[in-house]
Amino acid sequence: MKSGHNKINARSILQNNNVVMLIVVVAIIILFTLLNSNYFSFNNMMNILYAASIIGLLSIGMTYLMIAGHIDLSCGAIAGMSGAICAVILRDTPIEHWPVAFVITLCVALAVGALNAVLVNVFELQPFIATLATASVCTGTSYLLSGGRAVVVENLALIAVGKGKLFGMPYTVVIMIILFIIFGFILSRTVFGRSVYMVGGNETAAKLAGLKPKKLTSICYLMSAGIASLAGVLVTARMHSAMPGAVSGSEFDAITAAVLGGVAFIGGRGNLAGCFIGLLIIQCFANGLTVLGINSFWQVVAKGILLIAALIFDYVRRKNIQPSVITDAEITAAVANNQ
Amino acid sequence: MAGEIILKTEKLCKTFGPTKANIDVDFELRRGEVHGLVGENGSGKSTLLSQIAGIIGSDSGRIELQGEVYEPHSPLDAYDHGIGIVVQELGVIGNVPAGVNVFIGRTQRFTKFGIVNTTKINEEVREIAKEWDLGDLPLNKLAGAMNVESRKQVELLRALAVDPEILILDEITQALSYDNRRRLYAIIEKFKAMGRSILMISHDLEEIMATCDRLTVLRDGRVVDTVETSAISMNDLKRMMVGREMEGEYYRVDNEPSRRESIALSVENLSVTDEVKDMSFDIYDGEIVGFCGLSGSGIHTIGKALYGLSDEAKGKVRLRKNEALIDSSQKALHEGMAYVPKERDWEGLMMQANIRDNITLPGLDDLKSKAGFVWNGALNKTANKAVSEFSVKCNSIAQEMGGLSGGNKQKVNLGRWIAKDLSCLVLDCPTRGVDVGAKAYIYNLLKSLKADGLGMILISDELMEVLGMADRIFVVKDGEIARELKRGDEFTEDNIIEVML
Repeated sequence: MKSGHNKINARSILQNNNVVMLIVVVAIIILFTLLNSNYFSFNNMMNILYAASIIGLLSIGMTYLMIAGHIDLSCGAIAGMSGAICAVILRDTPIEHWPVAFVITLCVALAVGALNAVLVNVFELQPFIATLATASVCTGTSYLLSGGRAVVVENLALIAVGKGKLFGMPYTVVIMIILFIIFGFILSRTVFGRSVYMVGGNETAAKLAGLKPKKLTSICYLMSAGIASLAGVLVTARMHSAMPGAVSGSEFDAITAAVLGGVAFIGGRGNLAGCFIGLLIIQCFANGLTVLGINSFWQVVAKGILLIAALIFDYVRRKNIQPSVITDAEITAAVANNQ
Repeated sequence: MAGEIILKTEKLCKTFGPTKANIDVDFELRRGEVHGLVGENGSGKSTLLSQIAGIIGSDSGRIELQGEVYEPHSPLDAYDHGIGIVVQELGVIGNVPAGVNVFIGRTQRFTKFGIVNTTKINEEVREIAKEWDLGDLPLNKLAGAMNVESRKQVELLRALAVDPEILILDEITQALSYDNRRRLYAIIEKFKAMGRSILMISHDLEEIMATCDRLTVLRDGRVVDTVETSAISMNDLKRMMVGREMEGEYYRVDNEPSRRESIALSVENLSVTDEVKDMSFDIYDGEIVGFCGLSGSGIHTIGKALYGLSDEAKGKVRLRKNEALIDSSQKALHEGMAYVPKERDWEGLMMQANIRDNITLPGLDDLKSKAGFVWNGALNKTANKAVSEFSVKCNSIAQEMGGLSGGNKQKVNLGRWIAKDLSCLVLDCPTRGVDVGAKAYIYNLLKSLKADGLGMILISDELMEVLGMADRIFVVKDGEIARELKRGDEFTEDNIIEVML
């Protein structure tokens, strides 16, 4: 038995994407604290998490799907539609209890998730295109439901959820953190979670190994839609109203967070801890710019630059890890570089 | 003029990061010869070919072509110099028809006002195929929709379309079935007769010895020696490649069929569309049953169908130990069957994932704790055990799968199944693209599994391998078992070829 197969040394720690990215988060926090001492306060840290929570929720399902080699561009639209449905139910129907409205909303969202799964797994459409189409359907539906205007929520119980805090932490933040932990655990420590990696790594190999790739990815689509629905209702609770388009485009922020956190776009690689760190990087940076009083449009620019920087960093790091033998893959890469 | 030097390299060096792929490689190719490059995985053969083919550059040293300095910057450059290339790295472009793939990068000739005349291309490709007797290929089919063998034929056509003085063949026979190999050998003969040269790599040493005039042996990036094939024995060659005496036997040494009384797998009336027709047979415990056949014979489809991977399969496949009917790969795995696919990199392994995840892939259900969770400790333990048990050469189990050599990849691919409690193992070309050292290892593994009483199905395009390892051979023709041979006097290459043609 050879020893040293799991030896951990400084270099291998630095090769761990999460550790490096965590260092980046700390560096960002230190930098902005030096520039403005108010930055590192409990309130501001909560602001960061509060701002991150909706994108964070969406990025959970996104991470699962991306690791499985799929993508869900409809999660933002599902969240928007869910918020509108929930608000409209509470306003226009005799239903008074928001949990009942939420369950109905959740069922609609799961139906959309099921539609995604059917399009991708039965009709074998490209996930990118299929979910783009359902996104459009959902966005349209939320505009139709709301008439293009904000649907005001007068349900005090739901508003209380949006306002409520646990030990000073807004409920949305608490919910996000709990879901990250639960789904992170499922992803890394259950047969289902490990199988998601295998489907993304090589679908044929996964099939040979007795897995059911279509069933697994279908579950992921349902999961993504379900969590998105929760996120949408939370947004409505927070804003006392459902604004059509309030969360539009947030699916791309979720993708950015996941990719920053080391989730491979082509599948097979990444984890939720990394995704969470990626989320923190974006939000810490954006919040820092706000605290410094820099024009908020710069935040959008900064997000793009951060993503590019992270990808280049990842490329350089992976290139420096040399396998012990020359491989076909490497020669192929050399070919690509030469051309 | 035959015998004159057409291509030579002087002190060619190439490094990839810290790895020296080629060190001071001096090499000469003569006109009218078939020259083989041999060596283990990672010895630098492919790198040398890639340098000559213009796929990768050189750090120092030089290449001379017909006495002039030759510095190719791309494969197209090599084509223009009369060098036709079939190498692993180029491949075909999947979403382009096969015919156009033959002239890819060189379609100007067929282009008018920016429109490519594919009819004209296909005509010319057909002519080339006819000239070299390469048979019919569906030229309008997208290359990506073709099987590996047809793709390799497209690549071969592409190389021949250059009308090359030098033809470079890297591992092409591995992808070809028996009949297409024969066609290739005919092309090689014709090439030689025309006074042109061939430079080839193959892991099949029998083939190399039979086809090549001279051999250059590489080890760890250096040239060990260049020798006349007629002046060297197979054992000497192996020793030169590995740098030491090969341990143990290669194939089985006994010449008698042997098996246990009990049946491992019963197959009744298995049919798959028109590829496999109404087959029935039993596989006994402790028996290796070989399947041989030409490209269209359906032998690879049989393997897939047995493991429940074919949707169109009809008939019954039963494991006798637990009387389980196999109708899906999930069931097959669950009931104790394993399948090692032919396309290792595409079908078997996850190249971007680490070694640990690849090893534990089929065994996750067995590794979960009572509460249903999979802990890293259990994964690491199993993976470390398998890596040392199968002597996989790697830095750690956290290393990316794609970084391993072919032989080590196959050890992982095979080893992870063996760890399970198996009742039947289906192997499709298990030593494809694997060097001699790893081959010997795999054969020894099969021998010990046989001794442990495992029933195995060995599907292979290499007749020597099946003859060397099997107890019985089913020669398959047009989807039917045309003849059954038993280990012993009947076991000859001629007996198989006679039936399968």
